[in-house]
Amino acid sequence: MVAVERDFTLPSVDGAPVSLSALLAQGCPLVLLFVHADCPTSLLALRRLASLGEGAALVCVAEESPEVAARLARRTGFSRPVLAEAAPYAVSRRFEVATVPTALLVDRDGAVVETVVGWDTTAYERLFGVELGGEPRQKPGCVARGLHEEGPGGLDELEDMLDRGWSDGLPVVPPTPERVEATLGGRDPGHSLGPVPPAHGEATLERVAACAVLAGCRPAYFPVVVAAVEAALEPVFNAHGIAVTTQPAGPILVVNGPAREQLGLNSGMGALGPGFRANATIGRALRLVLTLTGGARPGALDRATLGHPGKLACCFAENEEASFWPPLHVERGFAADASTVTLVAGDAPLSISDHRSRTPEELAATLAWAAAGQWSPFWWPMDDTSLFVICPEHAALFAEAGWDKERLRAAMFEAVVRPAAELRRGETPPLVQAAADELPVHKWTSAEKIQLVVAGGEAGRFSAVFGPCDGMKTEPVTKEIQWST
Amino acid sequence: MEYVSPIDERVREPVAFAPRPAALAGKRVALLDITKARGAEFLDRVERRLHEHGAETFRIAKETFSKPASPDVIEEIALRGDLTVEGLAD
Amino acid sequence: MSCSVHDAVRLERRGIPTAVVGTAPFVDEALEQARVLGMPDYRIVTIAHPVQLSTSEELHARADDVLETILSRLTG
Repeated sequence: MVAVERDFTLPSVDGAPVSLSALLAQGCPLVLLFVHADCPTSLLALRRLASLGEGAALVCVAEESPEVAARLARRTGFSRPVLAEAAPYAVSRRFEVATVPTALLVDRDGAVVETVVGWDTTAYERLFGVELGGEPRQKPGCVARGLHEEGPGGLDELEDMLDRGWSDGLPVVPPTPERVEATLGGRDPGHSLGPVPPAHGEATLERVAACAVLAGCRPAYFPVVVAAVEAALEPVFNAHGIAVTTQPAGPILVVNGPAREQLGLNSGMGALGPGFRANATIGRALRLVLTLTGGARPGALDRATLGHPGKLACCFAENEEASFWPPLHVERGFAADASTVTLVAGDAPLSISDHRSRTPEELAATLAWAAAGQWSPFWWPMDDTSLFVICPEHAALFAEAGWDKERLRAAMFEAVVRPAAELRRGETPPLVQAAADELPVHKWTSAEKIQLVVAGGEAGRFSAVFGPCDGMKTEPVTKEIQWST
Repeated sequence: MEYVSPIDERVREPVAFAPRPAALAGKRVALLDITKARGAEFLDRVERRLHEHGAETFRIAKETFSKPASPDVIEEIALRGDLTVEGLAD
Repeated sequence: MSCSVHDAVRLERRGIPTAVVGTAPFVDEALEQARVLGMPDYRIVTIAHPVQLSTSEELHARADDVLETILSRLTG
């Protein structure tokens, strides 16, 4: 027998040892397909190649125990020989397999003459001289087990998460069964909150918990994440439209009630910015459910032309203590001592500076006119929600003047009006195009489109307003947070 | 290392294409307007051309382009139509 | 586009051949959406992008150009 370079012997799934030299003696060239069971692309490769006939010179090397390798073969319908390689994966290392799946075309001397990394339909069709079909035609692979030291907690595990696409671009916390179980806190993992559009992946509590772990949530935050997902799946929110539009639209979460203090949600200084785990990770967890379970990946089913940074995460608490108005959840019919999330669809927030207004009329005009240019300075009126975040100093001015929310909304609505003639600049609705020149046109179709919450630090006169989502027929949704299982 | 996947990896049951008729003549085509601007004009032209090929047509519109069609719209098409042209998605 | 592909899959399930017309930049999205819904071979009928600023004549011309494609998707 000709000496085979890098010869090896590994157990097949039925336990019998098999050597590379023996395989090559039976037929060459031979394709060795390296895979492991935690790699979705490896599963895809095995399923696609399962259709190859008896004569195909293909052997799978699974970086798994024989039992797991056998299960892998059964699950994918792969009936060609499967060898099992245990840690420390000496064979994979010797062949420098960094990614799975990797296919190596090996000649009779054991030399590698061709390599295919990841799934690539065209390359595999060429290797085997058959048509394989199916979608996707290409998919990246995952980190091979043999590449790095085995064990949790290393950088390679974080790279693995990113390779699998279980991320929004930032590092995530690997969703181990232990972490997910701790997050579930005794809840039924199989209970589904419903299908998440646009791909209609089922939002089982287990998957929602996996997203919460990935996002970096503490287990205590999970009930808030669940309430947020429930809100997103309400038909009136229209998660589908928001997910696939070319608009920048993203979900905005406002938390009310005792949960804020219990979980350390920030409603004060920097409430819309970074720095607070609960705000950042709860907002992120919701986005991961929509992106991963729901399939709304930017660049794929999420077609936002630009998107905006708030699509990473947008969750804050209302500063009920600094507000003289009823909090948002009370306004929406919930008890003051209930903890709730309110989900609103919106574009990027605009900062509104007003340091000099002395009267409520002046300040109302500043706030409203700042929003006038959002979406478009000319496409008026808009039948969509503008969510204003009023800072404590601004809120105090209205309180001192005795203005309740209704009065403020009405003043803001009335302040922003222009004659139709001034709005005919190209981006103009047909109704305004056809209207009489002097017809007054408001920014919003009604004062009800103006939503108000209070948040921010004690000092500084900067409020903000989230841009409206045009034509998405989306309504804000409030859900009570359920603490018990 | 095993992880809990956030992705629903179940293979979707394949959906077969509906059987196609041999020709258009005598068939009823629903022209489903997704209600984005300019769509109606586009469908007007398609409708005229379909008439030239001997098809009957009827117009139906979605409530909004930003959601899948309501069950009522799907039902109506299924009851009244043989074929559908849906547009215009931009 | 995604919503239209959802509609098409539901209609095809009901036995109604459906042709969705969309502009070219949405082809990938339509393909991906069709795949996740179980119709990986479903294809939309494409016309050039953009349409919002086209004249009526231009729109009609695009409709004429794709009519044969529409017919080929719905019949035979």
